[in-house]
Amino acid sequence: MTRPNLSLTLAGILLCSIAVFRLLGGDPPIDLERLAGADALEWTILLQMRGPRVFLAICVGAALGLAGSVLQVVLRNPLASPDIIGFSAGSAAGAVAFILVFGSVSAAMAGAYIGGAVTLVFLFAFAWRRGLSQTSVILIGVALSLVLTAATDVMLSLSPPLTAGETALFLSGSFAAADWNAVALILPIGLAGAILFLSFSAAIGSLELGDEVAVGHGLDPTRIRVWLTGSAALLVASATAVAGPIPFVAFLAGPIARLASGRTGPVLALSAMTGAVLATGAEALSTIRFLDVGLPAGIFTAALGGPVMLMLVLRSARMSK
Amino acid sequence: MISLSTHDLTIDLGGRTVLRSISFTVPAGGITAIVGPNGSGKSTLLRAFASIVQPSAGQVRLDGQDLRNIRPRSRARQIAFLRQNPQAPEGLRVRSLVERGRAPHQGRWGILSKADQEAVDGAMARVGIADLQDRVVTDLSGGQQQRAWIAMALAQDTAGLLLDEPTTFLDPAHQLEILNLLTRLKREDRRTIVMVLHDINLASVFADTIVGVRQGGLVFVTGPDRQLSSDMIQDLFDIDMLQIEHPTENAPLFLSRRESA
Repeated sequence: MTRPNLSLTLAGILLCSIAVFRLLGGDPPIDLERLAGADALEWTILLQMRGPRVFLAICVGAALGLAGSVLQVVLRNPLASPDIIGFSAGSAAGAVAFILVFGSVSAAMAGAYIGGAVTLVFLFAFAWRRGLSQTSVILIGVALSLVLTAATDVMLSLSPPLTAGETALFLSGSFAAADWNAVALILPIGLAGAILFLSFSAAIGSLELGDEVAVGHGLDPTRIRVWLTGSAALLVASATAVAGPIPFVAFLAGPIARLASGRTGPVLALSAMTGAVLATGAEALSTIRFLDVGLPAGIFTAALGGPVMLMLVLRSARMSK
Repeated sequence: MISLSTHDLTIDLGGRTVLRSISFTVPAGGITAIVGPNGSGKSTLLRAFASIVQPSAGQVRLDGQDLRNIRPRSRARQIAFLRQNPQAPEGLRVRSLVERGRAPHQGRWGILSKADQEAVDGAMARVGIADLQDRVVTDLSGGQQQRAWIAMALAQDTAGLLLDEPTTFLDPAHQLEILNLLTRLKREDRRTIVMVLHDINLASVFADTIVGVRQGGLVFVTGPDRQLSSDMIQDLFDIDMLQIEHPTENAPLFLSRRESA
């Protein structure tokens, strides 16, 4: 078996194992024999509680993995992932603003989309020099991300105590409130994003070699970047709308997939799978109680992503010396 | 064969006029070398033929048609462009690089047909890198990397080939290898090749036509009935070089002199 196929198979096995463990294990464990008896309680736990959480984690993880991996390739920088260049922060800020204004966490969804869209417009407006140069996109994105995070903190401190607690939980990224409606929102958007990214396969391959190569191949680099950046922002906004910001999944999926498969480029299938493994893994860990508290899934992806980001930055700093 | 020409071509970049009213025709099926001092606009002229930069006035024509009226994909099936000192992404393998030259022929999903695969195999065989196809591009020597990039341009299967300093940073053996390869492509495939060259003597030996560019203007164009001369070199670079005849090739050579004491 070739290395890309092997890594895809292994990721698939890993994802299935986590999903089965989460669905059937845990507290209380589900006895397969009792499911055959159509006992109402087991089916309720499976279909109403665990099922949506696991499926939502898979969809959100895959959507973030795709968006991150494509952006990193198109902007030719591993730091150019949506959670670093402001898309996650923008969606989160929008969600928090809506929660504050409408006084309910259910407003977060619409807020996430509007926040994501506004961030995208600002990013394009500021970075539009000779058609979205990748360095300015990253630098301006990081700056936007910081401003938006600060704005979110200000809004959080302005919130009435009860809302503030719920908002803080939303901001740490969690699948705890998952239901099938959330899955029904993210699944079609994720699939549409995957198909769109696939349809840009040849274009991404040329763009990865530089803008001049892309022009030489009869392509329009700016148009490709606008389409792909916009789609990535939509995927991230959708993920944030249903699960809050799950940090570093978008950032980690692509590099892990490229390292495992030994290939360059967006490696779409494996990036989606890696994102799903990271998100479901974090979701599974969030159900285990540490020191008698259940931590939200986002804490675990942050604990993994932070150090990796530090390593990447240090490595690129050393290489540029 | 394709014909490329410029008509009163003027190009402004960043508020500065880089090329001023250039008119000339690239001989079809030959090798044309563009020479000139640093910053003379010679790369810009090459890039104008590839539509990487757009005219501020005048035209670039492909087979008599304004390049701006030709659909980019159709242009990319007729002209391939290789930039100076291209950098492959980390970890990219030779075959995968060459495959990307098929982009103007492929569908948008990036699936390679049998014809695409054959073109890729053919291009790698042509430049002699078939045995390197599974190697990582950035692990190869400079000459091998340059050949891999040329293979990508060949896989694009175009009648015109534009190369920006294809021999810079290569040792003399690899320079010779690349230029002999281009000569074979001209003879065997009747391809029209235009390249920017730094070395005046390599241009003299390998090019059928030499175009001298200085400060955005055309200084001279050589041809079958007009050989390069030390006067032209003087006009182009403001240096006095000694002209001798190549002992075996029908081409002048130019030797440097020390400053007299």
